[in-house]
Amino acid sequence: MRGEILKGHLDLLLLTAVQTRPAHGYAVIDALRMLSQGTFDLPEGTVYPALHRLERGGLLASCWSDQSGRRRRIYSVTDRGRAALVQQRQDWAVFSNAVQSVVAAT
Amino acid sequence: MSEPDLISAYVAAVRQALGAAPAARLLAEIREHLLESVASERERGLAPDEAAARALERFGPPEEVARQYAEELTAAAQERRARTLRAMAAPVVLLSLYYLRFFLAVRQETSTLLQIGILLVAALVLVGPATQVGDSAASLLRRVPDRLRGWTATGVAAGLGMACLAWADRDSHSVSDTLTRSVPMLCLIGSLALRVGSASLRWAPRPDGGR
Repeated sequence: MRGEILKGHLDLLLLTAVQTRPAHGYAVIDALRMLSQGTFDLPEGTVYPALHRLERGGLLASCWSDQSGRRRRIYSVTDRGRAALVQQRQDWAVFSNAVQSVVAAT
Repeated sequence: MSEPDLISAYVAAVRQALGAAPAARLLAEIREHLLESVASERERGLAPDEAAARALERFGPPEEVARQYAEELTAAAQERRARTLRAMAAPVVLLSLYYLRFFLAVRQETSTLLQIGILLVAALVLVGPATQVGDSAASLLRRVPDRLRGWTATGVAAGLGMACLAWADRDSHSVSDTLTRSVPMLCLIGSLALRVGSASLRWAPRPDGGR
């Protein structure tokens, strides 16, 4: 999928990817690729600035974790992030329904 | 080049492209990500050098990673600066209350009302939204080379401050009189300098990608 289309929805996708359980950047990207069946195959390096931005906005929290000899930065959703996710899902539902209606009617 | 060398070279390229920007955490995350990605590719049967090349390709060009991270660093730095400026507005408002008390209790002069107005404008400059004038001044300041930018802003502010002190000292009776007359203007000059300095703050990746 074209990067600019995906970029507009990246926050929603990233928050969704870590909402059930905390994950490191690689696992987040892997989850997005798997759940979208390969459609969301974004340049992996562009995800980290977005994760940092969400953390700065208080929607994600992160900490270093040592697991099986590998040091990883683990991201989790904050309460504020959960509230933002609910709102973004509602916005997405309205937006996607509207686009679908327009596309289907023409 | 071996697999660890390829990863180190990639991380070094991002570091160089970012210039002086603080990025220790990002670089550590990139390294860990690439190691994990290479291990995953090797599990799928790729040779070590092929796995590393594939991992780097999926991560994207270092210049693009640096560009996007520089945008995030700029936004974060400007947010911190905005918080600091808002905190600095509080003493300026308190100072204006002091002048108001002087006006009400001691001497009812138009000049004191003007000084109160200047202090309130200074507070507004610190907390108010960005203006076209501020952005224009900031873009002018950004044309000055990085290493001279701080000195230029300080020099202009100091020059204006000295001019203000000289004006206040013209027919002053004492040092305290000079200070009382000049403090509001000095606050306004300082506020403007801080605001323009804050707006000119940008983390720009090196255009040549650090090469």
